[in-house]
Amino acid sequence: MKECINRAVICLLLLLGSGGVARAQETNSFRIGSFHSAKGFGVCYEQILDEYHFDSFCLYADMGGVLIGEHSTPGIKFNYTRDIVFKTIDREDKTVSLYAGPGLCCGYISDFKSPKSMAAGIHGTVGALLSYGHKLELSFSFSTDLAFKLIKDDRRNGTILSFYDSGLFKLLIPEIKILYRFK
Amino acid sequence: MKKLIISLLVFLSCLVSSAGQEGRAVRVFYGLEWGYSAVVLNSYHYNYTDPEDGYRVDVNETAPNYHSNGMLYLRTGLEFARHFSASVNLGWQGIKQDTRIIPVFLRENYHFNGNRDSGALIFVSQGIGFHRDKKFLSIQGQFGGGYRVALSHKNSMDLLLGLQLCTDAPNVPDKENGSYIPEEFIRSSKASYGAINLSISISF
Repeated sequence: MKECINRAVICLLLLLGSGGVARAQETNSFRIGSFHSAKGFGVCYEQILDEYHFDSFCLYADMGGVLIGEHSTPGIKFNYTRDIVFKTIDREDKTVSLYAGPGLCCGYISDFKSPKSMAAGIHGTVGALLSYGHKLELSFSFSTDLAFKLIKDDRRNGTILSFYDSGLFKLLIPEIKILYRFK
Repeated sequence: MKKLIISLLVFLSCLVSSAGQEGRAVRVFYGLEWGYSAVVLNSYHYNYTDPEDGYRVDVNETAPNYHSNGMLYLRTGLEFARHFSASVNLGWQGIKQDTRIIPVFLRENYHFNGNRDSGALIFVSQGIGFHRDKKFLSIQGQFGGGYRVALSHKNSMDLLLGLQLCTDAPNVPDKENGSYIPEEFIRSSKASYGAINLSISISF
């Protein structure tokens, strides 16, 4: 089961990654920044494919279990999304780009009242990118995970696949990215 | 406490009126601030009667003690002069292990390059913190500095570093059996926590 999940994740990443690389050659612009949320803190990289598409990669320390006192050490989580800008609003001092996109997630993360475990699944994001006409940009977003985790089953002396419950509830926790745009 | 709040309000109204005389529009802003707080120094003063032998016990101790906490504030305020701004902050903050407060405080900023341009800033803040599980009101004060990145005429991001002192009335530990001294035996329980705060603030 574990091998099947690993293979599926690798295949999907290669499929989406190859598309991203092909498009990235068109613009060659990217953003690098920091990820801030009650979910955790980390770094992110966004490859701008064209005016309406960008790939977002985030790697962060999963603080979910730490902030509520369940765990003393954070986990680690990786998210990838192919974001699509569906509306652009020009304001007096900034441009607000509303975006949403599907993606993938994986990591060694905590769930409600259970020890940290390996998890993988699909990931979705909806957000707003604030561009001010210079290099620094802000992104406010919400995201959710539809994922499964591998947990040890002592009765059967093996591992079983279980639903990652807190992935859906984390939709309510906002995320902020502070991004610096190159090119 | 009432006197403190009234003094602060009078101080703010004076600054607002002085801004009006300068001919500069007073601008209201709102925002979000979050960050990391490292408690580095704990100071305790306990005075209680020992529940078993009835002796008076007085413990006075100040020692370095490291613990990581987080903070999240919603803030609204006024830019009332070219270099000055003030905000009221409300949020959630950890002040030591297993102790969280709902802080309400006033912060005054001085922006060296003006509050609508990028540049260094210094700040002072003072306020109170409500506890969910007890009636005690923590007093907290902070000072520090940082750098403002002006994203646009109205939006900005501040990177802040501050030193904070916060008071508390913690449960008194019973060193003999690892539990806490019952409240009826405690005459006084005071504590102060010194912390280094690193935060990011976004204002609109």
